[in-house]
Amino acid sequence: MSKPAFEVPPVLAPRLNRGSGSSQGLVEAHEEWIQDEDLGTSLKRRFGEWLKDLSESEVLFKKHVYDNEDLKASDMRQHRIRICTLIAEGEKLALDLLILANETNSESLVKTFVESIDETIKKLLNEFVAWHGKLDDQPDIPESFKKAAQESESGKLEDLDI
Amino acid sequence: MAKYEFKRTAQFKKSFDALNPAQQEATKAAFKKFKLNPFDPSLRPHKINRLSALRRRVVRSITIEGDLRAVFTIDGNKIISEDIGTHDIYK
Repeated sequence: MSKPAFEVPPVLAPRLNRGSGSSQGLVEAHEEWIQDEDLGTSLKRRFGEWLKDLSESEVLFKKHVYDNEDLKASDMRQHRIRICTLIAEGEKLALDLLILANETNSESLVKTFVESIDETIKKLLNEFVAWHGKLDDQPDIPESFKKAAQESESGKLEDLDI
Repeated sequence: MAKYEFKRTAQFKKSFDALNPAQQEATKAAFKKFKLNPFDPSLRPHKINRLSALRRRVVRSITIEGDLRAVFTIDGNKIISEDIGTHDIYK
């Protein structure tokens, strides 16, 4: 018998071989091409991809949300999805950078990257609240508008008399 | 054109009363047009996306003069004038 492409870890073998009658712990060889990449290179690549996603998202946000005259619920949902995805990836990136720094005693090297990621995440969170938060939580919206919105929504209306 | 019922909030009156006399006169003139047609192009009606997103309903604005804007919403056949002022968010 030829050598398998890889051996299934023992913990998975019983499940994969269920019903096969095989006791070898083998699966058919469909190999995924994985680029050999060290952690530092991988983090640099992910950071670059994250910046690219941020920049692409800004263009999409402007077109489909900020300047969209026909804003729909699905536009708002996609805005939320993209912001949350960017925040999650940024947080994961920052965490992995800090772990790498801890393992290699290179905190000073990653400090600037992590600070820049944190700053961007803060902006994304603010953007999320500004478009999807509660009206009363918006510091830049006049109190008169908040009051008027409450009155309007509770149906406390009078005839327009000007 | 559909028959509209024109309403206002108590806050709209408060904000109107806080305007200077010239602004009040300009508002009265603009609202003569507004009552005939809230979408009269000379009033430059437009949606305010962020306020609409936060309210989960369309919020529109008309230009009275310069930076002065009135914001309104529509509920069925009711045109509700909600606030008036020179706030940046109303542009």
